[in-house]
Amino acid sequence: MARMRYNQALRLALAEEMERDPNVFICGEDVGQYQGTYRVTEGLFQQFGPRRVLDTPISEIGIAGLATGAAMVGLRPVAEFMTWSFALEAMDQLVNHAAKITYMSSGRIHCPVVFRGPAGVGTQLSAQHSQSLESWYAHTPGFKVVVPSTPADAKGLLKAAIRDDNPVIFMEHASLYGLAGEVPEDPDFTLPLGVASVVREGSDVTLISYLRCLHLCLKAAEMLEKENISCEVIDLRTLVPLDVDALLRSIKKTHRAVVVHDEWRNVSISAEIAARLYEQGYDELDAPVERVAGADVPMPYARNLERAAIPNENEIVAAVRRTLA
Amino acid sequence: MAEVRMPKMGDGMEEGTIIAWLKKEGEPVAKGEAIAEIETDKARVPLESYEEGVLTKILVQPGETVPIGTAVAIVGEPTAQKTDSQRSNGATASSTEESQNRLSSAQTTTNTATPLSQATITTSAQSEERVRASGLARSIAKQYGIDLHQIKGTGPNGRIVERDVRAFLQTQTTPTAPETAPVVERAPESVPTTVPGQEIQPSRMRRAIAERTRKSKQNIPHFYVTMVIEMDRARALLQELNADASDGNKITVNDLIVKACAVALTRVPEVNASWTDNNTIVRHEAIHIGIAVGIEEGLIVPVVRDCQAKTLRQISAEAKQLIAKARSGQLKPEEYSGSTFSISNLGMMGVDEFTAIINPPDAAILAVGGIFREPVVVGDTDEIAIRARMKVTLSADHRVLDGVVAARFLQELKRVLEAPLSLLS
Repeated sequence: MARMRYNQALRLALAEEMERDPNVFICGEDVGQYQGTYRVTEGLFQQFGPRRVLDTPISEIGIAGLATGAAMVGLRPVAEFMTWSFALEAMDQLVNHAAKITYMSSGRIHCPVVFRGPAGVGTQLSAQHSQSLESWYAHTPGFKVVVPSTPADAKGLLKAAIRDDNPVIFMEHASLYGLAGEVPEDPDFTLPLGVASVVREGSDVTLISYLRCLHLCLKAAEMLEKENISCEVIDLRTLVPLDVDALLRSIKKTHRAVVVHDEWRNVSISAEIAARLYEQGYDELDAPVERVAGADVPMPYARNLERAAIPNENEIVAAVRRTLA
Repeated sequence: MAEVRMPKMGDGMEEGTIIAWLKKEGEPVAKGEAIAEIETDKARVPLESYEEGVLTKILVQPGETVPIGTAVAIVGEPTAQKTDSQRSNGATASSTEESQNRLSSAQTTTNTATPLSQATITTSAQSEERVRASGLARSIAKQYGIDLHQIKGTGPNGRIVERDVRAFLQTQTTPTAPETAPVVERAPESVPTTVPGQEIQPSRMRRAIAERTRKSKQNIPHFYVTMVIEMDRARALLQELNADASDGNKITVNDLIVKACAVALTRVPEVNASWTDNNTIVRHEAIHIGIAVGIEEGLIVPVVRDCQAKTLRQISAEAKQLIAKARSGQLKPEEYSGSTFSISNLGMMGVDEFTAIINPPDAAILAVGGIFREPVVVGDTDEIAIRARMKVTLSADHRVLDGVVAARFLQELKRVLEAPLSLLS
C-alpha cells in the first residue's frame, strides 16, 4: 500500500494499464504536454510518447468519435473530457455510437473504450460547468457507469474499466482529486464493476451514496453515532451495473434507507434506487426511502447559493431522523 | 341485525380462516343455513347463521384468518343493505366516509390498549378502514396472523411501523403468538442469505402442529421406554378373524394394538392420566385413545372414545370411520379432541422403532414400529427360531409417572398381544 491522492491513483492506474497492454492509449484536451488539467496524466506523455498520449483539438465530438472508432478496431482508448459538462457536445458519439455499436453489429464489434473526467458540483464553476449528469448515461443501455469515491477505488475501478469490453463512463469528482488515501500498489489490483462496498457497518439505517456525497454520509454517520443511531454506509462504486442485492441485504438489517447524491433529484439515480427498493424490498422497509439530492435548479455561482443547492451532512442527518420517526 | 362471529370449534382453536363465502352480500339467509366455509387448524366446517335475514355485509374476505369471536359478517333486515348502498352512492359520500373513518380510528385507539381477548372483537367499521402501515409492519403482522386494525401506529401520520407490531406482540397474553414469535423472528436472520431456498408459508395445520409439538416437547419432561413384542400369535389371530371378512371390514394390527392398549391401561391406570395446570394429576375413568393419522396437509389425531367398554370389532369399525373422515378433512372438533392416551404407528412404513411426542393432555403416547421376522434365541437350549417381532416405545410424562410404571404398562401390553385371545372377550 502507498499513500497517494485520488488523481495520483488514477494516474497510477493509467500508467500500469498502458505498461500492461500496448493497445491502451490516452486522448483528450491538454492530456499530453500540459499533463492534464487535474494532473491525472502527469508524466505519461514523457513516459509513453505522443502516439500513446494524444493531445486533441478542442472538439469533444472529435475526441469521442476518435476513441469510439479506435475501440471498434481493437484498441483500448481512454478518452478524457476536461469536464463531463463538455461531453454534452459529444452526446451523439457517446449515446448513438459507443453505447450502441455492439448491438448494431449483432455483437461482432465491441467498443472497449473508457470516457473519463471530472464531474460533480461544489467548486463554484457555475451552471454550465457544475452539474452531475450520471443519470443520463445510466439511463442509456450499453454503458457501464463508474463513480469512484476514494483513491483506492479510483485505481481499482479505472483498471477494471480499461479491461472491460464495454464502453465505460468513468466519472470522477472535481472536489475529490486532492483526497489522499492508501492505495494498493499491486499492478493486478482491480475492483469488479457492479459490486458495491459497505464502507461502514450499522444497524438502524442504510445510507447509499457515491462520489463526494459518500464522504458527507460518513460525516453524518459519525454525528448520528453520538446519538446512538447506527448508520450503515454503502458506496455504490458503479451505477451500472447497480448492486441492488447489496442494498437489499442491508435494508434487511436496517429496514430504512437514505439515498444521497449531488445530481438533481428529479428522475435521478436515487429515484431509481428507491423504486428498486420498493419493488424488491417492500416487505423489509419500515419507512419511506428518503432522498437527499441536489436542488432542481441550474447551479448558482454565488458560494452561499451553491451551498444551499447541494447536499450537506445536516440534511442527511435530518433525513435519517425522518426515517426513524 | 346480528353479527356472525368466528366460532370456537374445538379445544385448542384460537383462530379460523374463511375459505369461501357460500352467500353473497344481499342474499337471504335462513336460520341454521351455511353461509361460509371456514377452516380451523384441524378441519373445514360450514359456518351457520343463527339468524334469519339477509347477508348485509361480509367483513372478512376469503383467505383471511381472524381470532375466534371476531365478527365475520352481518346478517340483518333487507332494508339495511339498501340504505348502505344508497349512502355510498350519494353525493355526500366522501364526507360521510370521512367521519366514519375518524370515528373508527378513535375506536382503534381505544382498543389497542386492551389485551388481545378484548381487542379481537372488532367492529365492522374497523375492518373496513384502510390501515396505514409500513411494508415491514405488514409482513411481520402477516407472519403472526395479526390483524393490523388492532394496532395503534406511532409513526408519521399514525403509520404502523415495526416497533408497534413488536410491542403489540409482547402485550399479547394468548400463548400462540408470543411463543411462536421468537422462532419466526429469528429464522430469516439466522438463515444465511447465500443458501438458496424457497420460503413457504405454512398451512394453518402445519402451524398448529409446529406450535403443539414444540409446546409439548418444551413443557413436558419426556422419557422413553422400549419393549419388543412377539406378534406371531397376534398375526395368526388376525388371519383367522379376517379370513372371511371383506376388505372394508378387516381388523388391522393397529386395531388390535388399540384394544390391547385399552386393556393395559385398565390394568395400569396411572398411565391413563393428565398433569393439570393446577399442578395436580387427573386419573381418567374413561379410556379415549387417539390415533395419529398422517394426511396430506399434516397430521391429525382422531379419538376412539370409551375403548375400555368396546369390543375389538367395535373399535376397528370406529377407527376405520374416523381415519376415513380424517383423510377427507371432515372430522368434527369433538372427534379429534379429548384423548387420554395416543398411538402413533409407523409400522406399515417399514420403521424399526421411533419415539413420539406426547399429545397433551395425555400422559403418554405409544410409538409402534413394524413387524419383522427375525432370528431369536428361544427356550433353555439356546435354540434359534424365527419370530415376528415388533418394537414399541412409550413416551411418558415424567411428572405423571415413572419408569417402573411405564415398564409395567408395556409388560401388560406385551402380555395381551402375545396371548391375544383375551382381546376377543
